[in-house]
Amino acid sequence: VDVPPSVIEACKRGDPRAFEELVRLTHRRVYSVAFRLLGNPDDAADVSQETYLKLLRAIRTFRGEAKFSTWLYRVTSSVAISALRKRARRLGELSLEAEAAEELPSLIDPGREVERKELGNQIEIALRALPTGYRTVVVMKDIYGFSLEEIGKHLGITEGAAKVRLFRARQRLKDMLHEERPVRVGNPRRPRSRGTS
Amino acid sequence: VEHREVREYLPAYVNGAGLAPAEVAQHLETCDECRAELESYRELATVLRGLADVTLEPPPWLEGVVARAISERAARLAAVRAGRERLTDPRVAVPAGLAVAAGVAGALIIRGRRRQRRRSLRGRVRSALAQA
Repeated sequence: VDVPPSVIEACKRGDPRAFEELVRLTHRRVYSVAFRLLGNPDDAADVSQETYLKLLRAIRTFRGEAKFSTWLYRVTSSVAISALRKRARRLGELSLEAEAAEELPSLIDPGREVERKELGNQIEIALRALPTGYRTVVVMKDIYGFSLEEIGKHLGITEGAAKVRLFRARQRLKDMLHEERPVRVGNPRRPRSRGTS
Repeated sequence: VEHREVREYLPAYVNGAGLAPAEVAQHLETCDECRAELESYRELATVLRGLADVTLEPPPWLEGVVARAISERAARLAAVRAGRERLTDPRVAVPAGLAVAAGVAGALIIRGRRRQRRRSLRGRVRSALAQA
């Protein structure tokens, strides 16, 4: 669901009701991007709130050259990555292997033929088990279609470094899904249910 | 080439052969195992792409809290902008400017008169002292 241009225009004029409508239409998407980048529900909710406050100031700069959803993903990712940086500073780490994890051995059942939807669920879990540095790249590139150049800029790394991370992340994800090894994730809580909007 | 070397290229191969040496493609033509591996990368890529349209359910309070916060801020921001725009509106700005100019002119006139009065008082005192 993309946001109707009339709602965007009303938001640009500062109409409070239009903003409420915008939140209604997009909050699931914003939360999903944040959750996939951050890997835990509390941070994802915080980042969602912050994203809308940023959007309030930035929406006048939206020119409609890209789809609104693409622009929204960019704003959300930028807020989420700032939050990741703050978290890394707080914990004193920013390595690719960061985030000590708990074992969740039974969530992924490797070697089993799975339906695509089930595979999607397994990938969501495996994504959370990826170290932050890998997760951000694979989420931004392979799910949300950011360019490697854009990812590099967001993360403060070169395009080449982003590419290397992406390939390693894909390799790890594939290994998690196809090899028999315990899956480790940073936060064992999952979103309550799934839906579409 | 060895399986191991070929597999190093596979995470990138999903997006096309790219800079992979020709031997990788040749190997893939004959090696079922490596082809199956490439297939699992392709499947992973397809499912990942599909996830963009799958949303996760946020906490139930999120929509209400965010909507309230953002609409309140939007209303405040709109009021500030409206105030600023009113000040730049010629129908408001011209009379306001005239009023300010009149006020300044009035203040200058009053100050001038006071100075004049003080000067004439000083003159009278000096002449009285001279006569005494």
